[in-house]
Amino acid sequence: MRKLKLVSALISTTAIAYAAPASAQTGINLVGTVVNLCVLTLSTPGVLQIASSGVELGSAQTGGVAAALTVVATGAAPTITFSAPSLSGPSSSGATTQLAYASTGGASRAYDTTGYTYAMNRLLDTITINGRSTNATGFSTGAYTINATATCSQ
Amino acid sequence: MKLCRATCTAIAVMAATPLGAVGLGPLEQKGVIDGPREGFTLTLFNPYQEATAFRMYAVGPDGDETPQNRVTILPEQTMLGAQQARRLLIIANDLQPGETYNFRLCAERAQPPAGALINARVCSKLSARRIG
Repeated sequence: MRKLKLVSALISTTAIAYAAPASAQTGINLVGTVVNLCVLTLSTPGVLQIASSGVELGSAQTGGVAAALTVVATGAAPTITFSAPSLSGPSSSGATTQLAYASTGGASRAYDTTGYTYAMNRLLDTITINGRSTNATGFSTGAYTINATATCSQ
Repeated sequence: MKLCRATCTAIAVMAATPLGAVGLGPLEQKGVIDGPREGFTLTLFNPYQEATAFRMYAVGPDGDETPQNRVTILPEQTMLGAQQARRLLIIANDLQPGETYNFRLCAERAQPPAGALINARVCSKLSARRIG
């Protein structure tokens, strides 16, 4: 009995659908506007390790990890500007600090102490950043941080 | 003070969690006005999965980091819920007749995470011109 009612309901629905006149069709438009926006995310934290020589801290040393910065832009390809890096920590005085950049989108920069400007030619990219700091007198025990600012702009 | 040697355990962190992230747009806006003040609206986005505080500040154009006291930002600091966005009102003040005032409005986490390698920020280029 329940099955009969269900079939009856389906037939009735179908009939209504077929009964609708073709001339009543209405276009459905979903409208949206994309503005130029940038979302910067440091998706992978970097880790520095001490070199066997004792005079270099770097993300490329065994056990170290490079940082990854993900760029998601809409509208127009942005420019990412990195400031010159600096080192903070017990033996930061006298240390030379450098960053290197690479990405599938075209960021490419060997280790350097100065800032870097990456004009993107696409909307999405992930930039791998390696850091290192050298100090001829070695590194005392403590926590060290390499800092830089990444700015996304047009 | 002991010097670190190869046998030292990991002592240095380039970035610790939580990570840095911020979203802002549009990245460029221009406005023309016949008075001394011009306003802009920008959208701030929180990419985090948790409520996060952001701060906004105005600096000079093209890499000039000089703070811009002529700019009013409403609000200068805000707490945004996870994946939420809100409008910001930016007002350039004291425009002189015929003057074009260029500056950048930047947004970043109010308290960048300790030990972060990269302090992520997004800056929008704004240009206000008062007709002479």
